[in-house]
Amino acid sequence: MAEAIRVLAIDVKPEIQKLVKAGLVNCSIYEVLNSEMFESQYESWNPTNFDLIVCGPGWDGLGAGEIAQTLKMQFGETPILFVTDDSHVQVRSALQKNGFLDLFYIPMDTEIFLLCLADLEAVITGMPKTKLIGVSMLDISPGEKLDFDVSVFFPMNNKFIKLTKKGGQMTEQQVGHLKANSVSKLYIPEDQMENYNKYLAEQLKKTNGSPTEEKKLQNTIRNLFHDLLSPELANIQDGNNFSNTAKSVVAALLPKSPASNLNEQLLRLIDEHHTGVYITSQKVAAISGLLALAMGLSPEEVILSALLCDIGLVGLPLDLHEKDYLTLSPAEKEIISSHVARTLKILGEKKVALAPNVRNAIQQHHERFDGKGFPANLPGLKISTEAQILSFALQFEKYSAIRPGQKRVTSLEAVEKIGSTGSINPDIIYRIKLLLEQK
Amino acid sequence: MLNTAVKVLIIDDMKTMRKLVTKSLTEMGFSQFLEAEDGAKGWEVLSVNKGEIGLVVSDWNMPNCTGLDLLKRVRSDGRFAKMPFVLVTAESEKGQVIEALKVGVSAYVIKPFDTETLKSKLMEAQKKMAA
Repeated sequence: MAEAIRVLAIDVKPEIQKLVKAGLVNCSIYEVLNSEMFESQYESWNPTNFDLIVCGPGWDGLGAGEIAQTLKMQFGETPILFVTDDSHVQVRSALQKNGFLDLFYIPMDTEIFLLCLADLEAVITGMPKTKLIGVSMLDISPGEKLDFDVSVFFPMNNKFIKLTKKGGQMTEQQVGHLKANSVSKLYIPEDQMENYNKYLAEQLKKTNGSPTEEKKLQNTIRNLFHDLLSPELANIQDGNNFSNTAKSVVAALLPKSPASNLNEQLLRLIDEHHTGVYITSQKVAAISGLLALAMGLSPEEVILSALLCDIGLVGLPLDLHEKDYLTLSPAEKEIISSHVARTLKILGEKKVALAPNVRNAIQQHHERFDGKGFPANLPGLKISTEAQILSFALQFEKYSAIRPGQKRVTSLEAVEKIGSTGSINPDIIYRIKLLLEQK
Repeated sequence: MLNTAVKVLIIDDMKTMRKLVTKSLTEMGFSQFLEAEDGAKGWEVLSVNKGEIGLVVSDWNMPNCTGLDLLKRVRSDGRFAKMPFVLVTAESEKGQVIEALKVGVSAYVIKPFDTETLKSKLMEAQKKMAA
């Protein structure tokens, strides 16, 4: 039996205390009910008394900020969590400055809170614990063998329940129950994500044109997009998890050929340290491939274009590429524009044979529907669909990047923002919105 | 050697923090304290009790006149030019410490701190002002 975690609960409602008990394998809770109790006891507390502190908004004359600062003085490194069902908005950065590790609003953040408690318990007790990664609900057929554990969160008892073990199958009853309860998220152990990614990639290849298979494909693609911009995927490790998913998607959709290996080889050859460009191109390729597939286009050419289009960036100032082209100075525009010709020159020197659609996509991936792009200021329908998909994917990938302090947008919000730039054909924007809005 | 015979003015908008600082100072041997809940009230207390107060320990972030603003006022008044003045700051305000040094803070301590850390900062402050 795991060692009991001693929890200090300060102005924590009974329902939230129940959540704490649900989230920890074994715990005892010491409750502080009012400011008089706090003020009469806090000076005697020290890190040997409690392992974890959970704090609500506090009381009149003794708010959460003061409580946290005081507790930080007494407890040092003991984690302090702010948890409330009070909808009054608190600013995360202000609370963290006062000493809170993180803040949670219940019921919206219930699952994340429980996962956080499980992580802290593992750290405090030294017990190994597998982190669960939340992914959008898969369209799993009963009887389909799965090479990973599948868990689901049951809000009725605030617990993660394992539905099937690795190597097992979901039953008709389980699948029916999930659909009936509109479950939208499943949880996979972090160390089994590679197997999950392979399964997901296989789903993308599995279409025989039947309406059922087509719908399943569309669902899989949509869920991948939603996962990419999930608010939970807000740390570097989860970003790495998506990179691995992207690699599996690309590997599934791109048949092995000398050109398909070129991306990695060329980047390693040209500049060993430019792994940032390599990782970004993998993600952009996955997004492009998914979109092409969803639109009924062949994904291979778009993916290949995405993998190769930014090779010419290596050696150029990357911060310029991050900025909006329309805001650059003439000299900066000239530098950035040059990467398109550089890419084609490098590929020519390496004697890479490019299909016409791939060459056009690479040539035109920075052209804009409004004619303000580069290098040729091509307007509207003169730009190939593949190039437009690539351009969209490059912009969408930027919204998925993790930037500390920057609020995450949903996938639909990202599409709206990209649509408003005027760089993409409104018909393509419309079709992508349709894909992401479908239930 | 820390001079604990002086009266200390503790300024912080948080009652619990004032209590903790008083406790730490008591452990060091101080026994005379005055309190204020913000920089403006701190200035009033200093002015009324001029000559009696020998050390100021002030939080930085307070409503109604911050610790830094109080320090500026203190240093511009000839009566308090040599007053040891210690600012208590959060980690994120470290960048502003340079500004406080320019204004004439005697020492600063970063929250959370223990009694030993505060003691060494107070000794630093008293030594600096005596020089």
